[in-house]
Amino acid sequence: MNIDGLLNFLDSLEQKGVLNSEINGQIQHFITGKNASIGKLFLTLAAIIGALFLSAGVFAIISHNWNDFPRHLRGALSFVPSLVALFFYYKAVFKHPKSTSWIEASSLFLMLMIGASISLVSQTYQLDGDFDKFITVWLILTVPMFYIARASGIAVFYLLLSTKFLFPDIQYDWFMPSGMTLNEKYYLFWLFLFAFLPHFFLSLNRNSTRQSFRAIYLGWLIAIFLVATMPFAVKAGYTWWALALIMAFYLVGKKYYRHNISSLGRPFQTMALLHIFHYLLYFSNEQFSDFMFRLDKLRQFKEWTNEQVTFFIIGILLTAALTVIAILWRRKEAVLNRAVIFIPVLYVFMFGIFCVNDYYDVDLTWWSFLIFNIYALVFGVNAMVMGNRSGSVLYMIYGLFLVCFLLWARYFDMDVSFWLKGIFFMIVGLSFFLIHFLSNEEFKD
Amino acid sequence: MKTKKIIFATFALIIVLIPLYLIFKSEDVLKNGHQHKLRLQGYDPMDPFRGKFLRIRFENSVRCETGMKEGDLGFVLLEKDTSGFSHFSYVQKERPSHSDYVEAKIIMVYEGQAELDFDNLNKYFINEDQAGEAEEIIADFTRMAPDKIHLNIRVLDGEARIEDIIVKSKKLLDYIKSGAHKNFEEEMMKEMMEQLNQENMMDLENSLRELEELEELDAPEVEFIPPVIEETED
Repeated sequence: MNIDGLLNFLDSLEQKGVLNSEINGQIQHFITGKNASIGKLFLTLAAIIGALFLSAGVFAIISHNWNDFPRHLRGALSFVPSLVALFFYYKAVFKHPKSTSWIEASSLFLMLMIGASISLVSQTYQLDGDFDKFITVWLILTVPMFYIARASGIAVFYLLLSTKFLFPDIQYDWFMPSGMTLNEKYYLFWLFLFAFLPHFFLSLNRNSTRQSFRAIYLGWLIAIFLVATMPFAVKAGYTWWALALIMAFYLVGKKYYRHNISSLGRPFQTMALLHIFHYLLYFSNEQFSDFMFRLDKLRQFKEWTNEQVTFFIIGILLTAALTVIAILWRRKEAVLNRAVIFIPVLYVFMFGIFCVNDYYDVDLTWWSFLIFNIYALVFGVNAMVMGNRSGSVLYMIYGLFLVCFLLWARYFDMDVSFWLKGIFFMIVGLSFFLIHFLSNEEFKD
Repeated sequence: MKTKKIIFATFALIIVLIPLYLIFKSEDVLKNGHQHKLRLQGYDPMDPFRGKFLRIRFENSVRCETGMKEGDLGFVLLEKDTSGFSHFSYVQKERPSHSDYVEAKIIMVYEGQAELDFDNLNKYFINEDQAGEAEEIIADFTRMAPDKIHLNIRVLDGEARIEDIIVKSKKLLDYIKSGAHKNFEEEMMKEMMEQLNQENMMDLENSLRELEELEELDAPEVEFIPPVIEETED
C-alpha cells in the first residue's frame, strides 16, 4: 500500500471510531517521518550516482588526450577538474552543511577529480609513473574529506583503493614455477585504515545502542572489509587476529548497535556470528589440527622476522585484552553471550592440549576435538534457544544450520564404529523434535 | 567557522600544489635535462584513466654492480655511441657525481645483468584518433627502418622524461599530420631499389676499377686475334 493510501485508511479508521485522533496523529507522524528519511536516502544515493557518472564523463574526456593543444595550456587545464570540484565542495561545506546529498556528492566528486587532475598532468608530461605513489597521494588527499565535511560515501572507494597495498606480487610464468609474495607495502594499508577509523567512531551515536543508517552502512563496510583483508594484512598469527576480530565485532556491536531492529541493522554482531560459524566448523575438524596449530613453526620462532613476531604478539595481546574487557563487561551488565566470550578460552585450551601432546609425548588430540565439537554443538543449540526466547527466527536458523553442518561434517570424518555413530545421530535427530516441544507457542500455530 | 575555513583553504592549497609540483618538476627536466636518443619498439594498449598510450620498449637489461639484487634501486648510467644513439650502460649503487643518470628499480639480476623498471619512460600518451596510426608507424619503422625512428628523452639528476618520439627527423604527431606514412611501403620499396641500384653501381664501379688497375700493371700485351668466321655455302 502506498503512503497516501495508508494515511487515508488511518483517517477512515478514526472516522469509524477505531482510532482516536491522538493515536492517528502519532501513527501518521511516524509513517511520514519514515517516508521522509527514505526520501532523503534516495536523494543522497541519486546524488552519489550522479557524481559518479559525472566523474566518469570527465575521465572519458581526459582519456581522449587533447594533444593538439600546447603543453603549457594542457598543464594549466589540469587544474580545472580539481578547482571545479573544490568549488562545489566549498558550496557543500559552507552553504549546505546540513544537506547529506550535497556533502556526499561533492566529496565523491572532489575525490575523483583529484585523481583526474593528477592523471591529466601525467598524461601531458608522459609520466608513466609509479601506480603505488599515485594511489598513496590520492588517498592522503582523500583523508581530510572524512573529517572536514564528514562524508562517508567515499569510504567504499577509499577502502577499495587502499587494498592496492595488499595485492600479492605475482610472478606468473608459463614455463618456470610461478611465484607469489605478499605485498611489501602492506603497512600503507594499515596506515590508511587507521586514518579512516576515527571517522567511523565520530559517526557513531556514542550515547545510544541504536544507530543511524550512516553508522550501519559504515559498520557493514568495515566488518566485510576487515574480514576480507585480514588474511593478507596480517603477517603471522592470523588465528589470534581472527579471534580478536570476532571479539571486537561482538563488543562494538553490543555496545552501539544492540537495539537496532534487524540483523541487517546490527552489522558487527551479524558478521561476528558468521565468522564464528566458519571458525567453529573449521576448528572442529581434527584433520586440520596440524595445519592450525603449527607447533613446528613455533619452534622456529627465533628465525621469524621482526614484523612476523610483532604481528603474532599483537594478535595474542589483542585477543587477550578484548576477552578480558568482555568478561568484565559481562560481570557488570550481563548483556553479552558467554558462549561467544568463551571461544578464545577454548582456543587456548586446544593450543594447550597440543603443547601437552608435544612435550609429554601423549595423544590427547581426540579428546580436545571432542570437547570442541561438543562446544560447537552447544553453541548452535544455544543460538536456537536464544533465538526462540527473543523471537528471532534468523538466529534460530543460524543455530540450526551450525548444528546441521557440524553433524554432517562429523558423519563423514568421524572414525568410530557405525553402530555408535548411528545411535548418536538418532539421539541428535530426536533432540530436534524436542525443540518443537520447547519452542514458543506462537511458532507452533 | 573560521577554523573550518582555514582547514578548507589549506586542503585546497595542497590539492592544487601537487599537480603544480609535478608540472614544475617535469618542465625543469624537459628544459634543463640532457637529451638522449634511444632506439625503441612499441604497441597500443589503453589506460582506463588516461586514455590511449604506446608502450615504449627499449633495451632494459643492463650490466650491474656486484651485490645488487631484486628490488634494489640503482643509478643507471647513459652512454652515447658513435652513431649518436644512447644506451643504458651500467647500474651502480652509488649516485654518480654528474647528472646524466636515471634512477630505476631492479626487477631481476641474472649473470651480472640487471633487468630494470624505469619510471616515466614506458608510456607515450597519445590522442585516441592517432593511436592506431602511431602504433602502425612504430611497428613499421622498428621492423623495416629502425635507424629512422628513436625516442628523445631528457635526463636530469636521476629524473627522466620523454620529450618525443622522432620519426624521420620529425616529431611523431607532425609525422602523422604530414600523412607521409601512407606511402611508407612505396617509399621503402623505392629506397630499397635505390639502395640495390647503388650497391650494383658500386659493384660495377669496383669491377671497372679493378680492371683499370689490371690494365695499369705491366702485364704482357695480349694480341687480339679476331675469330675467323667460316662462310658456309647454302
